[in-house]
Amino acid sequence: MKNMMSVVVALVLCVLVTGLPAQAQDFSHIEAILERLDAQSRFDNTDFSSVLTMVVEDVEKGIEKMVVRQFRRDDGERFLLLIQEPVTEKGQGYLLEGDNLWFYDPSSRQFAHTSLKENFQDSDARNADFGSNSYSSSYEVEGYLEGTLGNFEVYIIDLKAVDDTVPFPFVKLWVTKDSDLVLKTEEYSLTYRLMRTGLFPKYTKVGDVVMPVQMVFIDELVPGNKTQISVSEISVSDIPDHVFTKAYIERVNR
Amino acid sequence: MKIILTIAWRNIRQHKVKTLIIGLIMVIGIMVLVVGNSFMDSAAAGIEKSYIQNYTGHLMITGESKGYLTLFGFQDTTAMERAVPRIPEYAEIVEFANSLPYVEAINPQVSATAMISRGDNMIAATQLFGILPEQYQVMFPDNVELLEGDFWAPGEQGVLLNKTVVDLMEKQVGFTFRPGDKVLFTSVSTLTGMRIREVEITGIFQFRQSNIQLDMVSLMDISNVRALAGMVVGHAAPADLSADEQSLLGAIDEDSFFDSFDSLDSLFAPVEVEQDMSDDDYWYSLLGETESRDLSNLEDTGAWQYLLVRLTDEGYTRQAQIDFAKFFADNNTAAQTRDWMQAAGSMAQLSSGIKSIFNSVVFLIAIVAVIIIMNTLVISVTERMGEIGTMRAIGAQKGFVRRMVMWETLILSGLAGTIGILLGALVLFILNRVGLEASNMFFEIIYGGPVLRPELSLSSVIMSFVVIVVVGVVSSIYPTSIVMKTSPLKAMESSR
Repeated sequence: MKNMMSVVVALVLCVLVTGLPAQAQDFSHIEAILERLDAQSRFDNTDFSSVLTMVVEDVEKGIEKMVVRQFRRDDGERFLLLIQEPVTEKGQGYLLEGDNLWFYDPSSRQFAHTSLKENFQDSDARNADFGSNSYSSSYEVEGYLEGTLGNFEVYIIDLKAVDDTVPFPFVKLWVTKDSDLVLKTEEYSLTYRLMRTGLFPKYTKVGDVVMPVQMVFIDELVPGNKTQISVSEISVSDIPDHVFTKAYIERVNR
Repeated sequence: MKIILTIAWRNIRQHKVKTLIIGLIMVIGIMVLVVGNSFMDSAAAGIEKSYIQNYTGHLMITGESKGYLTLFGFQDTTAMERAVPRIPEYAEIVEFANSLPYVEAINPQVSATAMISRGDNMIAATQLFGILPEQYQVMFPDNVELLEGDFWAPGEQGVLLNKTVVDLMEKQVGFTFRPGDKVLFTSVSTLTGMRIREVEITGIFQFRQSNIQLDMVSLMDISNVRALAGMVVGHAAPADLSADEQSLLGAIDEDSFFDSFDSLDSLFAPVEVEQDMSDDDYWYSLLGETESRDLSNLEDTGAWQYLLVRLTDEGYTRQAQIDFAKFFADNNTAAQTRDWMQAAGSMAQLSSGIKSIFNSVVFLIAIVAVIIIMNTLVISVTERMGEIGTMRAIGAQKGFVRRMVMWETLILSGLAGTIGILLGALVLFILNRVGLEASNMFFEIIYGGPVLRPELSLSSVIMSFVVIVVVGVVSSIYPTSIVMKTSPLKAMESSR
């Protein structure tokens, strides 16, 4: 009898120590939102081009304006960013070919490898900000809350990167309920320090694609540093294949 | 006075155990102080000499700027945010420097940090010093040891790669780099964005006096470093902003940012989708003319970030700082001087910081020594209560007894101090002969190089002696006060 009691006590202790089976949270509807966010950001059937106007506020340097031509072919993971202004950076280009991102410097006519995780020039935007979203494949849901942002009801979703291919390991998204618009992002470092806040106050619809046409990226490490990006001259016309090549960047610079 | 000294000396000899215990503590204490301080002084002097002779000169002239500007660029939180300023009125400053009789040599430099790549791979990073080889070698004749190749010829371009950097590169690609090979250097300048330069390796070298920071420095021709540092003649035009863009300038309240949007529709902006752009002319004329770009990107040939100044004697440093400050003020030139320590950057500062920590430890040891000596003296003086009481009873004044105890301690301190210094000198002599090899990077930083040969420093002898005498005197105050509070009668009774 005494032995029996010992076994029961041991079992109870085991359960207490190991804990009751965790209640698995169901994130399937949040994961579905992430998939929709990714899908509605991709130009799968058409090419896409636009002009990005970037206003970079820097506490040390003041305000600078950049004008960048953007060409995207999401079916094939390609993009080309060609800088038109300022004059000293004119012709510099970023060419994405699958996993490879190349930077071109016309002053030396040389290409060098760079990364999607790096800042775009001296702005607060990252090179990864200029492609389509990959929330569902690059992140897993850590949790979510329901709340409001201004007059909008939103899901506040905590994401954790599944690999190191994205610029930030932790991201918090404010996504409008029903309409799936990302209004705000907060991006964190590995130590969960807030690095950057993104605000997306203007959207437009191009075919099936819903895309922000005004973005603000706030550097949370250096107060006062901020970059606003507005998108104009949007086109979904076909872009010749040769545009997504090194040879094109070299030739357009001649 | 003679009587006091005689009695004090007699007491020291009579109480042999007490003398031995306190004396030993003092000998060990002073030996630790002498060796420790000489060690740190040797390290500090080595770092200073090494930097002044090989990298910084006595003074560094830069454009006026706030923040922690070093020869390696800004080493504070703004490092990535701003460019090192150019020296204004450079030619006039050089002319003035050359006119000063105590200026021995000057050397201009530009600094940039770059990634090195070969083919598709980024293989290492290096700190680049853009220099004029002839002038650099006059200023720092002994710091470069060429292992392969040579400096680039005057008027030509090239890079002299540091051996440590080359080792890192070779480890990455499994390829041996030789003079004549070309590699790509990529840097990000806050002035002109990313820049790439392909540069031929003309040689591989190592600094004779180095540390982990200097091991990452390579020397490159000034034209390429200026390009990598964004030192071009063009400037970005003032930003012309639309009303929409202006509305988002300045601080944004992230929490209330969306309060003004009342519906989903208010988030959507109508955008006109442009039409076909298949014309070849369109694609190849996207950038328009590029001549103005090329003109803007011409090298700013007169531009330098640093002017390093070596003086005929270190004693002129203060004078030189005053003279340059006056010259800058008189000519309304936005430039300033910085001393070698600032120029040297974080490694020299780190060594200095470690020395401060060591001094704090010495201070703590002194406090512990005071407590131990005080305790031993209290016991010793209490044991002699009867003797002191008798002395007081036959007419010895309080001051006489106080002076007697103090002189006892001072004689003991003097003897122990001398022995401690001699022992410390012996230890330092042996360490100097043997040489202390830095077993890791931490010690290399403290030593200021791979081997430290400490020397007995006069300042450490004086400081240690002062500390031990003060410790002795302070230690004698408390036990003396105990004796003074006891009446002569009671003191005599306690000895029965």
